[in-house]
Amino acid sequence: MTEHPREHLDERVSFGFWVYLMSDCVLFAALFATYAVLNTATFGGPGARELFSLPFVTIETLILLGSSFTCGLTLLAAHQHKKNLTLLALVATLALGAGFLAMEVVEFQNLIAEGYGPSANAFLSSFFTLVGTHGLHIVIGLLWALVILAHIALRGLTPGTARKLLVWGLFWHFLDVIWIFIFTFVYLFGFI
Amino acid sequence: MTTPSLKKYIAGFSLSALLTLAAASLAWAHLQAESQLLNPEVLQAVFVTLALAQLVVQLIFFLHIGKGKSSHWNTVALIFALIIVTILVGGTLWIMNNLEHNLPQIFMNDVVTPENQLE
Repeated sequence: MTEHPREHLDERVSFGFWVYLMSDCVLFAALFATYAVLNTATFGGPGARELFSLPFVTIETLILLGSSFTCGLTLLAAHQHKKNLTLLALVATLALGAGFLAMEVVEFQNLIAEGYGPSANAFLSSFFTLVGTHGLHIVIGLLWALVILAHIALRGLTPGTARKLLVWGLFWHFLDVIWIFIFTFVYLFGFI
Repeated sequence: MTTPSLKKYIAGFSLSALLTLAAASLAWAHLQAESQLLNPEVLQAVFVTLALAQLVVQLIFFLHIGKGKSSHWNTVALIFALIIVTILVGGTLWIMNNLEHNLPQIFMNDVVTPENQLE
């Protein structure tokens, strides 16, 4: 605390948030386990292989990965005290995140329109719960980023706004990590 | 926190994109192939390996695990979470597969259809 009180605070805050992220991991683990058990329970309907499109989810995955990258650039620019660059990278992250979310909404809408909504069978219930929970996290992450964007635009890159950005960055990278496993266990495994 | 660097983010992004594309093209080849390219178990193992590799890449390059002063406790929390996740997912699959194995055919998930369900 004596030498670098600010860095010390940064580390404490990000460690606290890290512990939350780890508990969120456990939440997702429960949803993954549910999906793993129920993914064959299609009640006579089509399974993952028939319902999902590989090129679609691959593009979706790359968009989210791109947003994780620009999120990193945001943190980097903030670290170098370049306010405009920080804002620009944050807007890029928001745009990519919104693009990802839009694709997910389109996918959900198409499935529901074809009669394969969450109430169709146990497989789809678990699918919508797992992927929807991730989508909800993305929505929260986007709203959070908007608030931080406003903070930085109005107050500049203060230690306070930089710390907010740091914590949000952890959250956003974490969502990308969760998505890798959704991509693998829900989509890729579905195509086997 | 550690100092972020552009090189690290570019490396992390390239490696992640490469691993994603590798997995996706393998799945694509599998979908297009007339006969089975690889047997499903091998393919699953390859997908899991690629996902774990990407987990490690993102933990190191994006989340900066293993660097910095307080990072020791971050790593401890991560390992603890991974143990819980393993018990939760592994245990669920073990129990549910075991139950399914011991049930009569009619109760099995994949054969219940609107026609043969029990009233």
